[in-house]
Amino acid sequence: MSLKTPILRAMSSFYNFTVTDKAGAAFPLQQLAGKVVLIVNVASKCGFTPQYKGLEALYKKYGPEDFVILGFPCNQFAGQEPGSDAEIQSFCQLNYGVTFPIMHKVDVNGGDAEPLYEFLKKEKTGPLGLKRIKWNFEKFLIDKKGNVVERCSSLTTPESIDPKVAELLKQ
Amino acid sequence: MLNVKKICRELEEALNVDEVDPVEIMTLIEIFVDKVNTRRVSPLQKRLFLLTVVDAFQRHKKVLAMIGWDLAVQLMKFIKRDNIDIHGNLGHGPIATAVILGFNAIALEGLPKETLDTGCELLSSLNYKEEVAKYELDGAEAEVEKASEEDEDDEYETDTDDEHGGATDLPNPAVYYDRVPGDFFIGFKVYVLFEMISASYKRISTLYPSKYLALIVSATEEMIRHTAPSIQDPNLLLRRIHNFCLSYVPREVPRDVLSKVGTDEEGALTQEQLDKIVKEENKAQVLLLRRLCTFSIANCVQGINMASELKYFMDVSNQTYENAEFYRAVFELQSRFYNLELSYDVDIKEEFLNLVKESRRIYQALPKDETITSKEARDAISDVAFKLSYSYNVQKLVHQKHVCQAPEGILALSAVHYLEYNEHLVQKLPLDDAIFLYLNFATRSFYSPLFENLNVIGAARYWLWVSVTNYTCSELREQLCQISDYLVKTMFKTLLLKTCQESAVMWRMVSFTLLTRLLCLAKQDLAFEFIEETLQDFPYPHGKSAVLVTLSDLIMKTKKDKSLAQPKETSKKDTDADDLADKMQNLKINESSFIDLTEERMRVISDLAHKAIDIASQPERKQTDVNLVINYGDFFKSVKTKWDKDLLVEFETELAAAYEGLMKKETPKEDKS
Repeated sequence: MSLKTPILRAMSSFYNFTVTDKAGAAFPLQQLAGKVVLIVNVASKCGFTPQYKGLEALYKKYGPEDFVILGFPCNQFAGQEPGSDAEIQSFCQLNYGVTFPIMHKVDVNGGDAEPLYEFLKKEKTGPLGLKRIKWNFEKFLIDKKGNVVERCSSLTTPESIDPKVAELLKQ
Repeated sequence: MLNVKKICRELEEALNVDEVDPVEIMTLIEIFVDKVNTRRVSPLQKRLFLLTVVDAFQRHKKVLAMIGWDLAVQLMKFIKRDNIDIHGNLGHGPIATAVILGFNAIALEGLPKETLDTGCELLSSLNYKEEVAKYELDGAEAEVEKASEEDEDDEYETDTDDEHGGATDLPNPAVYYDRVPGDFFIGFKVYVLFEMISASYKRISTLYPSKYLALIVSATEEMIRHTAPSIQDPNLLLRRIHNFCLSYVPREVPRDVLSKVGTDEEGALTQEQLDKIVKEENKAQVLLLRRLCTFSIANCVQGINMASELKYFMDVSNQTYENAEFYRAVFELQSRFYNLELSYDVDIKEEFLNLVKESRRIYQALPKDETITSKEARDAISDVAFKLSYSYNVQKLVHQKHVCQAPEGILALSAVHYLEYNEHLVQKLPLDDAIFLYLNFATRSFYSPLFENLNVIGAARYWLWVSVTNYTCSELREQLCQISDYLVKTMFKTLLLKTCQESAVMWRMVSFTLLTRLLCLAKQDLAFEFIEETLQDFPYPHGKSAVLVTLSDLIMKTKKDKSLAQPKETSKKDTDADDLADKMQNLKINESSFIDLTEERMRVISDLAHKAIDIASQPERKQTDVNLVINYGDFFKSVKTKWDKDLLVEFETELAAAYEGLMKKETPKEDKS
């Protein structure tokens, strides 16, 4: 099959990445093909941490068949995610009843940044054309074809993303 | 007693006329504020007045929109000692909460451009020292007024007691915050102003937002200049600025502009023109935010030493580094700014290396040692070397036409990187580069307090540490040879001067250790010359004492001495690299000291010791002069095995004679009594 068609070219990008799940196992993004995906860099001790509640509500509303949220814990912003993967999981479940996948802790900026994040930042720049992630709970919305369609700042609540998710799910 | 209710009624009446004159209303408010904002009016009455004003304007939003900018100035007058208990809970303060409500109303309803302008003007006028002076003056005046309480005749005076009398409603005494007055009032004012500025900025509809952002950045810099040097808790400033940057949302293109695009309407833009403007505006906003970030991180903490230096010293000395709570809190904000800078797509490493290059360029303009023929010329050029960075940076400020990042901020962030990641931003920085960097950022402060910045100078010293611990001694000596001797001496002098000004013992010790290490690497003649000049005319006696200890180390310790060994990670590498050199040295009969003693050198130091005895024998001597003589004594004790015995005897004889002379002078006094 040729990779020259636009759809496949797009798919080959996002879906070619493999990230690591909470147990340290490989999590190929290929398994998310055909789903709308929301990628969020999360932290447990941040002012935006209560967004977990809204994210979970969004996931409950649309997931997991057609919509998936992947949370990537990151300790790069004021050290607000200091715990281990197990501690983070436990925090999310106990405090916010999170059921969407929380992945292995990663860096989102700098030399050790998760390759997926490098891709996402390149695909969709933030406000003022800036690439790097500004803070915890920045969000990337990916459509069913693997296109990065929206990048939202920490200030954007999960509730306000709802209409966009709904729109993408209809496509 | 003032009838505040009557005042409130009159204000309501003035607002309820058919055609409200905003100027008249504002004049009325100013008069009322002057009447209400006195010590004779209780906090609850003041609150009543403020809430009435806020409430009235909520119902007359058009008037509020027009006078909001001036109302902010009136509200600021209430933020003072008489009205706010600095030790209480702000959330329960009757006046503080009313003032916040007032600012909030203005932020949401005032004309956005005018409100922003006023906010910036008020922000840039904040001055820590003036705030403290005002606080003290208010306290003194309150005392005087207590002593002579007299009521003035006024049409708003009343003899009824419906106004809660003069008794103040003090906050819950169980709550007591140990706050510093200057920090508290500056912190509070910065808080309300930033809230107002941020909110009004978000309401401005403009195609050119950078114009307003530039106003905010400029006002913030001005505020920092006049508050940061004295503030005890820099986080009060850093938090507000970080919050502003973090929640910064770029302005959208105004709808009226968008709707006209591509049309024939007057002033309509083509899509291309619009795209170009938006692109340039985005670029300008990024530059301004980067500027704000770097300027703030360098200057808000200008009175605090950079913890990176101490942490690194502890790490290489195999000691446990324990950060005090205060430093942890400062670092948390530094870390936030570090990540903020990263989020602005700044390559801190690249920017830092550019800074290193620039520092090198500044000093490369100076002549080489071999081209200087006379001592006079050398002295003159040494003076120039001290002032070079200052002159360069002043010229740079004068000629700079573009918004650029604050170099001090980049240097500060380069050191924050170590705290953040426990590794250096640049693994290896040659010693000559580290010296140029240090000279560039440390010497300029001798000529203007504007450049005095412990945090930044500490960061430059951290890089000196990185250099001296990540190369072999032979490499370091080679790198040091790349710099003219007079420049190396300028660096030694600067380092010593700065160290002597340091009040914290730990940092002083770390800096003296660094100086000793650098002197070990320098040419013997140069190191000795520096020590001699220091003992001759250095302004701080404890600096002289410190170099005596260093000199003793340089004389008594040999180049193989492990007590001056490299840190843990590099020691093995050094041993390997210098292995051959070590073997060669072992072939020699004598191990060499860092400074070899010659007759001339011993004579020079002995003469300086005699001079010190002379000074300490004078009636106008100071305790530090006596201490210096004692330190000479300790010095001679430590080097006696290598020192000329006759010179030692000479020193002891003169010291004994001086002591005897002093006793004789004091004895008659005792006899008389």
